[in-house]
Amino acid sequence: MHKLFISVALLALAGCATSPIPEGYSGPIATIRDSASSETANRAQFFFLSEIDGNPVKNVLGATRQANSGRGFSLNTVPFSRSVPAKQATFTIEGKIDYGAPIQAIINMGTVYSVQKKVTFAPQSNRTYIVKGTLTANRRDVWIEDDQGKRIE
Amino acid sequence: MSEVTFRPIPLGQDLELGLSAASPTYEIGGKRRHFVALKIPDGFEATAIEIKSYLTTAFLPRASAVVPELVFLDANHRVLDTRPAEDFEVLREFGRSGVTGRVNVPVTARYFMVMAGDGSRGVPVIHRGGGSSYRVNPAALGDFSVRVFGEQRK
Repeated sequence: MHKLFISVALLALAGCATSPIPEGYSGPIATIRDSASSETANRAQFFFLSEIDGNPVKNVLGATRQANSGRGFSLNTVPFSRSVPAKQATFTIEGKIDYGAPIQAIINMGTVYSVQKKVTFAPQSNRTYIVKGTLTANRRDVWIEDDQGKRIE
Repeated sequence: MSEVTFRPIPLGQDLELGLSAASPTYEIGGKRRHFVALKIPDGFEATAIEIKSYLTTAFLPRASAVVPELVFLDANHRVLDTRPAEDFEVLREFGRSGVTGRVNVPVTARYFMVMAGDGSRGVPVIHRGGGSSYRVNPAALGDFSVRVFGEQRK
């Protein structure tokens, strides 16, 4: 019964987000995929789309947090992508380091790197784009690549 | 194929559909499967189709859903290709549990049929709190919605 309640509650919560595809839109669409990589069993780097034209969108960071709720310090990343209209827009992309538990992030505050950037471009119909980046003490960068590995400037 | 009635699909909205025991059947890969038949609007060049497939129960260990496969036909009802829905994500819609998948549409497609795949080309995976992951069991019958994207022909 406990598992049933959690399943229902999480699926209901997931329903609160708005879609990046506007109501009534029938134009072409593209896919933007977030990326994430584990550094340790409880620390990972996340590179994701956070806004389209200023409107927040769901992303891999939220999906991973949701998937790891109740697991203590452990943090396993999950895949995440979404469809977007294939037309010019300003995409806010972010890179962030996160931990399985907030207390770990507080203790390691000095190495919880983050970066944010805005990229304006027109995704092409049926193409897939990936948010990538690097987060180290010396370099903090986030960018969007197309499915051929070409960086979108 | 010409005896099949193809229902026009509206633009800019989800068309709620379902596969039931009463749905017509079509043989593909040596197996008869239930299907719904749809027509792409005249003058519209479809590029992608998004399908929301609804879970039979929100209790994930027992959940199943139609894992859609689409058979695309040209203007003369000749089969162009069969493509499974891919890139599944958890459906983010209030009050309904499901998954959303996408299919890219062949350029010359004018009609398509939606049928239940057997999952051999991949099934949706739902990640749940506590680190559990559940593969959605393919169902032969069930409810789903279809939305078409593309451009008006010039």
